[in-house]
Amino acid sequence: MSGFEIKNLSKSYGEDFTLAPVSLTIQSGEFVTLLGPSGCGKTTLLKLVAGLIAPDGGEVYQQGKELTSVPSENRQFAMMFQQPHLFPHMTIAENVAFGLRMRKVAKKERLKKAEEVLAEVGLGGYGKRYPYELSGGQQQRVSLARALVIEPTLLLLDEPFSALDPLLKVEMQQLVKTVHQQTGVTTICVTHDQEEAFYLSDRIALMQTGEVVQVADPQTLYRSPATLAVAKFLGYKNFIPVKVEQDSIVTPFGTYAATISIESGKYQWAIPSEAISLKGSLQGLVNEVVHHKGYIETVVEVEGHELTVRKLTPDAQALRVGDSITIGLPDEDLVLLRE
Amino acid sequence: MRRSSFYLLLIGLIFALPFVPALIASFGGVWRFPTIIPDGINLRAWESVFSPSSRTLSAIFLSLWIAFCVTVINLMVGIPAAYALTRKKLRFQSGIEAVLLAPIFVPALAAVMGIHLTFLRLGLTETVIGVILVHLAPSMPYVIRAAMISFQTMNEEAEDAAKMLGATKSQRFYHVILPHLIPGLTAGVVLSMLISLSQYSVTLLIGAGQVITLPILFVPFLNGGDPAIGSAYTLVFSAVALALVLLLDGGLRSYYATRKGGCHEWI
Repeated sequence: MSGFEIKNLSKSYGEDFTLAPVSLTIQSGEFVTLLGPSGCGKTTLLKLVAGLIAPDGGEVYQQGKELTSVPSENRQFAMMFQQPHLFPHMTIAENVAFGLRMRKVAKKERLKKAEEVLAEVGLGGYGKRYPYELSGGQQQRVSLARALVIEPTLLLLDEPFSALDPLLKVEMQQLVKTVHQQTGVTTICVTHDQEEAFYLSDRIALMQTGEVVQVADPQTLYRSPATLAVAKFLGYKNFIPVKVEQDSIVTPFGTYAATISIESGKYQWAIPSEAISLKGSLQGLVNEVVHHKGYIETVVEVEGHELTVRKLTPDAQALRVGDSITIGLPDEDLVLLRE
Repeated sequence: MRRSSFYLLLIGLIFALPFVPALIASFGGVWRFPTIIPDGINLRAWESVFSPSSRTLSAIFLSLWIAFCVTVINLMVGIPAAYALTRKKLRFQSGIEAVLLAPIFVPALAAVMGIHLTFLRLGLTETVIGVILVHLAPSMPYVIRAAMISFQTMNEEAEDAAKMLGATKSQRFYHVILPHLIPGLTAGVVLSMLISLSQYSVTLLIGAGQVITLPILFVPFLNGGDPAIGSAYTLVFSAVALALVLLLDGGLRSYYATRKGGCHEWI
């Protein structure tokens, strides 16, 4: 049975922004990320799901029950924001217990529960302190604990790590992943950070200009982007114009046999920079070498086309501008995209 | 002596200085050069102020009661008004704000001249309720302003956070909004009380001498009736105002003492 269903949800803000009718089904226990550049409508969609803003059209369902007009406070969801938004006049334990207090759980019980969840997020013993005594990263942990303590049926994360410095960010992501694996809480996360989306998600819903353009698990998303725009967003750099004629794909580097039936016509062949090897049958000239953290980006000119190659192997490290080399292209599962 | 405490003392002296002549005058003394101690000191004025027939105590209590009612109404009207002005996108937003804050710039008496006629028809003149209503005009802008600033410094998302945790509208107000408003509102409350306490002309016009607040009682003495008694009243009035400020300030401090976490973030 599907856990959560978004049906034709739409919202427009005058002419400035329109969220096209979005439909998305999320399985119980799944971690789904809404990924996209800023302004693509991912936060709007999350707030529609949360009930913090009212949709122009469409419905949301949970276990088949419609929730569209149920106020946020009665939805039994929890949400984490970019800022921790702890209540400054309450202790950490009182903050975490807040949701239980709203549900009229007895004081002793809710504070005990709060301490347990605090321990889960690595802040055992911090209950008696006040928010200002904690660092930003710790506050965000408290915010996570506060969301988890009410045992939400749906956990919503609105870029909760983007205000943290890189190391803390990774730590928090690991924590969220662990917590998700342990509790199995259905989660929708909004982020513009691809690394984060790929690391955390069971499935990614990629959004562009107010539309969900592709929904897939991270591997599938990267290996077979649905459109040229998705490929560009995911960091593809090599786009080679090709022609499909019946069963063959004619490329500037030779003709390949099409393994699946594909309509004839002109396409762009998207080649992942990581999939190009530095040994092969194609003659090329090194035009550019740039050292990045974790990889070396080499631009190789082949048959008048520039190809970007990413490697950190010894032979990549030996490359210098002007070198003559050979490269090999992937010859299976070619990504062909319509213009 | 630390420099800061020196300045504190200096400022204290400057504030205390005007009370010295009043104090001397209240004892009926005449202080002329080169006498060191004022001549003719007596307790006549003070005896008169606190004589059972003077109505001083009842005037103090009435003044405080009016100031209290004015402030309660100000809070009940001012908090929602400030909420709407800061959180909602209203049409004519700046126009509404200008009208609500206008009494700061427009003399209350000017408005009350018009109000007087209406109150006469409604039978609100010579009543405490009438006086309370006219005291709202000069004091409400300060409460609205104080509440608006508190709302502006509060992140709206904090309310959303509380909402997602299951807090209903009234729970959000009580647990999240109000604690944030209290420090700013205290300033508004103090101003509202003091402004109400010190109203004279509008109280006189609407109360028509039937509603005897402290200023109504003592201003005639200052205006040539009996400066000694007037001076004594000035000191009584100042003492009442000071006691009020200290009480509210003390209340705020003890609030912080029990919830020490809050003040760090708020101040």
